[in-house]
Amino acid sequence: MHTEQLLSFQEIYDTYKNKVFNTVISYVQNTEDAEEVTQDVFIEVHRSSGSFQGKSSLSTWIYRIAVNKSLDHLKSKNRKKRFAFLTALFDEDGAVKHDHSDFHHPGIALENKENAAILFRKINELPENQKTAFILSKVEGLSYHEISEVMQLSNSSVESLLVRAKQNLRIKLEKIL
Amino acid sequence: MDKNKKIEDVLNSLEGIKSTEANPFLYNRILSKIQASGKEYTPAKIIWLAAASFLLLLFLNISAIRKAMINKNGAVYQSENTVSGYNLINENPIQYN
Repeated sequence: MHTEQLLSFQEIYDTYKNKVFNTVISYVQNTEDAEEVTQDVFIEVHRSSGSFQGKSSLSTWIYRIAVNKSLDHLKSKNRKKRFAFLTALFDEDGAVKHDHSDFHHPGIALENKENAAILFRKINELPENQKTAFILSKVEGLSYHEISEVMQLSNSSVESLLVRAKQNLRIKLEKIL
Repeated sequence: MDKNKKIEDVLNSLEGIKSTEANPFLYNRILSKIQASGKEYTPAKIIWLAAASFLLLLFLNISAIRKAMINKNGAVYQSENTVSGYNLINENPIQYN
């Protein structure tokens, strides 16, 4: 790595590390996994920095990588879980391990921790697009316009995704509360 | 009523969420992962340039070979023309070999 590249990469890292980590942790809901995916995001940023054409802002580009890497990680984890479930069917003891532990986001105020844990569990069950729109809006605080650029959708599509995400969450919460 | 309030509370529980600090050792881990990959990542522009140069070289080689083959065929055709044109075909029953 050249010194110039190293410096600019460090600047990019310093500017976006927390934004990337916060986005990723909302998807993967586990600190160790979030660190692993954050590493993958910045390795991808370093690898693809030459091909970044500046058509979108750097922030949009990095958010897009973070969202894609998080979704890929979740897919791979779900595949592993399904495989583990199938193999467990044939285990001698037949014990199936499920990950029922609640996720407590470190940035949530103490009084909201319990409610936020319920919400994160239900966010996990949303379809990918609704999940992304909801996380970018409610956790990252991005505007409709910024979300539409990250997701490469129109503003109205983002608005409708957020409405549907809230409706779905409400239905899911009604069943458990 | 209570249920609706509880749902609203859950839905609004992310309000005021604070940004979390990434692990301070993460940057060094990323750098060592990049370096451990054992190779520098080549920018896509350079890869495309190399591919284009390779294709150009291939094209030049193929056209040079084709040109050489056409010249060779032309030479044979020309020599045949010369032989028949100047009646240089050996009609002598005496064989040279």
